[in-house]
Amino acid sequence: MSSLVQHPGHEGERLQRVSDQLPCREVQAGTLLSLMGQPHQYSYPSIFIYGHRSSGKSHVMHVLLKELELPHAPVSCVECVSVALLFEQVLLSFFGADAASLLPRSPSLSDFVRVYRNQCSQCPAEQTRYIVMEKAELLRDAEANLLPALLRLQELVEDNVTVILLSEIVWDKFRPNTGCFEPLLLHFPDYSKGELQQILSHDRHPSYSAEFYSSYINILLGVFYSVCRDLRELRHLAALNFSKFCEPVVEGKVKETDTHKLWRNVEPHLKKAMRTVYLREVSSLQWEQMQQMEEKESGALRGTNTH
Amino acid sequence: MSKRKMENIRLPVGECISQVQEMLRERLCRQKLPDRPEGVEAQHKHLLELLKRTAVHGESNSVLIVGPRGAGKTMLLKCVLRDLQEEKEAHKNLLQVHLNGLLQTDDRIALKEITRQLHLENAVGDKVFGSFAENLAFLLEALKKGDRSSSRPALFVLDEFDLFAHHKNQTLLYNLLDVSQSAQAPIAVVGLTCRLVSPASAAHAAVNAGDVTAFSFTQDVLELLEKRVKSRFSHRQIHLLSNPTFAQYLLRVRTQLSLPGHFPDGEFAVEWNAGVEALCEDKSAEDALRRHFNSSKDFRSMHMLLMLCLSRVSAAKPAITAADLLEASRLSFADAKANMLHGLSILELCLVIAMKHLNDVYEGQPFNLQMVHNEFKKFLQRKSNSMYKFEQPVILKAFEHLQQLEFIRPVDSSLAKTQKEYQLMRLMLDHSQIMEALQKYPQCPTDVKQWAMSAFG
Repeated sequence: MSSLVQHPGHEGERLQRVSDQLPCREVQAGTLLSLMGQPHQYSYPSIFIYGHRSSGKSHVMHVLLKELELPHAPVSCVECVSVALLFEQVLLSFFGADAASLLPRSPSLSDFVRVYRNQCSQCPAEQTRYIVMEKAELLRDAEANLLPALLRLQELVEDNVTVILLSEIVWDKFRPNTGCFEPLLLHFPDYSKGELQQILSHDRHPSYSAEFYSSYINILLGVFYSVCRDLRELRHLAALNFSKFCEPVVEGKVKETDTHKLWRNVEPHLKKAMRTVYLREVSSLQWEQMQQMEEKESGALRGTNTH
Repeated sequence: MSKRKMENIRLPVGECISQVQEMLRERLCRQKLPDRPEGVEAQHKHLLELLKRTAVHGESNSVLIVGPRGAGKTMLLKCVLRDLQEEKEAHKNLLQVHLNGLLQTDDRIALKEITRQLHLENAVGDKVFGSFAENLAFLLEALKKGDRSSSRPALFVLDEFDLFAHHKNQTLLYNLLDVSQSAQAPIAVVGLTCRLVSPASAAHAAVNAGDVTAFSFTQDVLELLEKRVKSRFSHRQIHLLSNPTFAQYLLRVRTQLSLPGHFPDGEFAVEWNAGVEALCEDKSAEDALRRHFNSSKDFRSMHMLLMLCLSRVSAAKPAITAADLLEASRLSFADAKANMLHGLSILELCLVIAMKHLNDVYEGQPFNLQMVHNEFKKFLQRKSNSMYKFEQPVILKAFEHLQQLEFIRPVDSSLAKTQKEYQLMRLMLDHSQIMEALQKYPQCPTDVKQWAMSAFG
């Protein structure tokens, strides 16, 4: 498996930037790049990428496509409530607004393929075009012919286009009864605890040392890891609770390196967060207000045991 | 072919690999047509004869090409059409209309598409037709050759033929087949379908699995046709039920991966082909290919496997090795659900184990969150670890996450009737999947594992 920073057809500098933006996802990005091949070559007609939420599927795709400046049409199946929106989005991204306006009022798949073919005979693809569809599980609820047609779009429009589906549901639940063109399946594994630690530590606050923030993340993971391994949730919780963690240091009561005391201070707070902010019982704004009120209270009731 | 003698050109490795990638991707991803279709010579000849009769002699025909997905139906048709173009008369005369059941979802759309492909939009203009038949007759009339004596022959290709049978009244099929039976205009109707066996007779076919002949397959797709349509169909069928032996499969793999003689760098091509041959003879590679052969014999899954191998070829490693094939095979056979189970949090995993116990005890009866929580509490009581003592809302969130991943599904889809905690669900995982996932789960606590393996929760 060639390393991420060496792929024919792309500049090394750009690949380096890609690599910097994708910590712990170099292997998956490398696999994707090697499947995509050089921009002018054909790629497999459809690729299905599955993995847990926040495992980096959209992030890796978007970073790759943007940094390497490949023609792509990002489609969110949540937003495209009707197929017309989906078709417009694709035509808009590849051929511009004029092409999108060529679609009739309630376009059928036949209209879409026809317009695409016409446009593509005027501007054929010099590089592989990618259609990236997020939350692809919603396609199952659309018309029965949409998913099979999208999977073989390359053949239907006779153009160098690849459809990439991103989902957290496994492919077995997508397959129609009479079968369809099977896409290439790619799995984005979940982050391990070490990888989560590494990625979360990237968000460190500039005025504190990296070790200090690392110890904070360690404590956070200690409380939340058995319940939640979702990177986005953990980042959110880390950002919200950091000020509470720093409180004793700011007040001068504890040194930065005294992890035990810091842990004792913040752990009950994190447990409380699990019952409230994690469950979205309170919003993050309310949570911050609650924290400020507590600080005022503990300041007012000096000498009394509050917790 | 170039008359120039093949010079001893040597290109740099990177350039060679680039060429290899391009060529092989054309074959594997773009389904480039082979010079000669393998293993289907009889079918090729049959179809070519049929279409020649239409194109050159003006005879009307209808035929159905039947075969499972990935068997090469479209490939066969395209090869025949390509060979047909070499006949001068056919090339001049034959009009082609390609329809696809996925795109042309009803007859109105199909008719518009036919009009467009025959370039008769202007001839039709704003005319309004009384019926489908009138419209079609008009189109065919408009195709008359210069001397007005006879119509030009037209070929109608209907991909996903079975989907056309679901249109209202099967109007399109009826009219096309009607024209092919009467002497109105010379047309050939070629349908491609993968519907071989109806679900009811699937068991029947399974019994006859080893001994497949054209007779023992119930022609399900014909059963879909109305009587009047079926009677107009010529019942001519071309079957692509190739049952290659493993040796033939290996040969196909080798041909797909080999470079042709006109590759720019002759020496590199020879080295590459030697490497491919060595690969096919390697024992571990052969075992991997045998696994794939046993699971599915069609072209497409082979192409997918080879594509995964090809993606591992680079200038630094300019050949496909057995290791590549093994890795590609591993990726193909990976259990998706097991992969997803690996990423669950401990709490979610415990809930899954609790559900498994409920399934074991109550023999697959549906459960709700409350029952699962109680089962989980039994585990907590025994072990006296407060480590997993979570409050009900946190457990509910974990439960909902499992629902989002479709590991559990509500028994009925009535969403808002009952409270979330009391809605009945079913587990979509089976016993062995869960136990296997536990083995692979990173740093799974031993007490959780023991709980899973114990018989009575």
